[in-house]
Amino acid sequence: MKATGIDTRGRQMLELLAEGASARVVARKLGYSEGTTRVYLHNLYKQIGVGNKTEAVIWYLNRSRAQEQRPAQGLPAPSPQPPTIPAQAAMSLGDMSLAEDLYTALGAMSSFLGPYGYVWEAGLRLKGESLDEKGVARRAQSRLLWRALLKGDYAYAKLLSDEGHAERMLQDSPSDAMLLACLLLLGGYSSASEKVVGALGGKRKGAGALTAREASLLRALAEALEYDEGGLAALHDMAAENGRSPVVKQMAMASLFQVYRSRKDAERARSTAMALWAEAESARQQLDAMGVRPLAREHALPRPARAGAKEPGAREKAAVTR
Amino acid sequence: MPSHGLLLEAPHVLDPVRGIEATISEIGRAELASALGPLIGRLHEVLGEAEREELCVYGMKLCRRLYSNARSGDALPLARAVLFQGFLSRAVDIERGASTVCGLLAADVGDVVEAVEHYVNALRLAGDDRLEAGAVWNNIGIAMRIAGNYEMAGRCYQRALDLVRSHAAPFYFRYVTCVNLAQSHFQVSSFADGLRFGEQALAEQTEEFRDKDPLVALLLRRNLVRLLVALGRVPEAEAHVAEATTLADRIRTPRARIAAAITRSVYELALGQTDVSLTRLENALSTAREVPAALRDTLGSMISAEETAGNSERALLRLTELSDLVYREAIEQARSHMEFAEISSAIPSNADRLQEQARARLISKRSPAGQPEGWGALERLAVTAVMRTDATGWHGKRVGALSKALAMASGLDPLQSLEIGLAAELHDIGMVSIPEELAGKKGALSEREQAIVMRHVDAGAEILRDDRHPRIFLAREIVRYHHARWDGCGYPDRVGGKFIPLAARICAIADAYDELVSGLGSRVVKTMDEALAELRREAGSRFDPELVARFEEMVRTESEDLGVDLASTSGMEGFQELVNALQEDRGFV
Repeated sequence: MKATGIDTRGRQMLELLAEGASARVVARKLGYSEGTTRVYLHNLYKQIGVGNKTEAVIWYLNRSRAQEQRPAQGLPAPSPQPPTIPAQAAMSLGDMSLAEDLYTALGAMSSFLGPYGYVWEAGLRLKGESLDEKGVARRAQSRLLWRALLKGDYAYAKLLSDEGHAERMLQDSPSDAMLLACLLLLGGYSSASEKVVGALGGKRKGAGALTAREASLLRALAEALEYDEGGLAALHDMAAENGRSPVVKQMAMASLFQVYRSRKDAERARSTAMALWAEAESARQQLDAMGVRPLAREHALPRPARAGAKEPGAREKAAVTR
Repeated sequence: MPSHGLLLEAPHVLDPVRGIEATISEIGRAELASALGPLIGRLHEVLGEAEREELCVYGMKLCRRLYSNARSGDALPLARAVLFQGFLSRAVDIERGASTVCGLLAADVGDVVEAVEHYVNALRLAGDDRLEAGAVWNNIGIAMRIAGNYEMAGRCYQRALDLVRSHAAPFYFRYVTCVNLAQSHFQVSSFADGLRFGEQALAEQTEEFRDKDPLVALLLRRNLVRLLVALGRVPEAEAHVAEATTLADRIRTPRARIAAAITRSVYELALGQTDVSLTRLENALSTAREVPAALRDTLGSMISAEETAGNSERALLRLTELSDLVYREAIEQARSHMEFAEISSAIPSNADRLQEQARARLISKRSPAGQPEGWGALERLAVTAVMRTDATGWHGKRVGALSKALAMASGLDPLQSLEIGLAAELHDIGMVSIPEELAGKKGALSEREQAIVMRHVDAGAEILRDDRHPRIFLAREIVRYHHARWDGCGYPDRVGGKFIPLAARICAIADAYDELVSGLGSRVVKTMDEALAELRREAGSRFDPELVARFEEMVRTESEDLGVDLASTSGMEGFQELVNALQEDRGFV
């Protein structure tokens, strides 16, 4: 961790935070007063460029994993837990999503998943409809939220709800409000998430209300985050369900990944990430069958403008000259 | 032809049209379209006030002339162009007038959906003007009558009448509306109400009104005679019969003669002079064969006359003839409807078209997926077709939504399911080929009548003959086989089991469920639970048992999600909620 200039105290604090300690616990363990600890923590957040505890922990976990995979540096960094990633599987998508985040790991494939993705776009064209300006804006917003869920960027949701966007989303787009609520729950912003979930629950009927399936996804997520095994099982069932709207299923899968990750259940998180990839791949194949190929391989590698015209021997000649 | 000064400023626009004005009734379609081309193109541009006025007034006049020459389809692009000009220049009067004309023309070519859309626009523009609004409602009623839904038509006329109730008598518009109301009440067998309106119309009629449009006066007499006979007040009808004959002698058109003959024969039949009556109708029918507009009505009268006389065999013979006629007309109309849709979608200005073509080329290079050409026209036609039985016209949409959900629940891809849902919306498009008498008939049908109704699957398949797009092919399969039964006892061809295309099996279940819950086809309205039980009873005989199980599971979980109680909500309430939820776009397919 030398590169980032975090001192021992900072690292110790991050370790403790990553284990789930509150500011009070950190203060007791390190022997500072609680107020001093808060000041130290604040400075630390500023130093590493994060906004809160959760983000700091994510930053730290990402860092320490990256360090583990770089043996060349030879830093015997004190790890908060024994290394969980076997060396031979270190290159899989699941590992990458644990080390970086789901969004980075899935890469372009994440566009096949979630609300208003490629599949939806193809559906829109089948229906012969097109997007108006408002639709474009709503789509962009949904995609941002979806990306935040894959990235684990919960602070984004907090920012949105602090700036009062939650009310608008509750009005305009239930799927957005739903994603926002998931993010706030995962981020542990209890008061903000309570507000959104409460408002969503208050709307029982009509457009803009959650369906029971979405509501139970939220409920299961909240319970799973409280270490309730029943909630986790319910979340898993929703993520494994077939034959209904795939988007809710994908939301459940992404949430499940983040829950496993926060529980440091690397094995299950990895498998969930792989399942999400498989889901994206099946969506890609569906689109392919319809003739929609956003990631088509049909484009040939372009030749350099001048090299193409020359006779095959040209390169050899050049080599000889050299 | 008045030679305005404006003619010099824009001679190139109106010249070709004025050149063909004299021969407008017999000129070929392509020739007419090319003559109208410059005018239509000009109307899509921003014009000065004087030129706009000139072109719009001329255009509307031309549309009316084409309408009365039975060339509504050819006039429609021009009327739309005038409408566009009115919209462009925010000239409310032009826009409202053009909306009404568009509605008239669209209804005349059988596109009731577009007609109603235009009328709704006109209604919005009419604002507080009760007279204008009343006229629009009257037109909507006429469109509904063309769609074959007399009950709905009656309600529209009633609305029109309510709007002008306080207008000082005599008032021509109210008179016409009352004539229409009498007619629609007769069609739905509420004779007493019909007679009331007929008498009101007669009270409102003045010499002037009668001379203005004698045919309306004649039709009024015919309606009165029919209503009086139906109510058993035969002697009172005599005066009206005499008056109808006098009027027909004055008008001297074949149409009037036929109407008078029908009137008299109805009266004679009621008096028991069966042979005279039937011979008279026979003669009227041979005249009507030359006048396509009157043929349907005449055949209809013929059928009921033969039935009253007790010649059920001959009545059936006439019915077959009528249904053949309607069948041919429907197919023809659907075909020309599609052609018009293609022509008029190609008309907007050249630049747009080039851009569109370029875009189409780009898309087709990468992805063929998209909406088939002319799909919108087919959709509207399908709505018109179901409007005879379902006043809202949403039957197709509901079946589409249910089919999509069932396809998804049975493990198909979301996009495939979407295609099936969209194609299933057209499943009853062939109903346009069934005479209204049968489509709206309450009670059981005889074997022969059933055979006629069964033909709607062939008609639909014929309308969708051009399968240049996979979805049209899919829709044709659904249309053709959505009445096939799992045990092979259905029609056509006694196809059964897995030989029935999957999409058609899916649509059959959705169709049956919607009919049960919404009580279409004069069925008793069932709760969603009862309807599910009904489906279960017929699983394995009528429906694919596996799909029925999936369907039930889908309906149950989805309604549980929505908090809809299957057992207690009967009819549309909870059902509509379910369908809306299935249709909602939340960023999912």
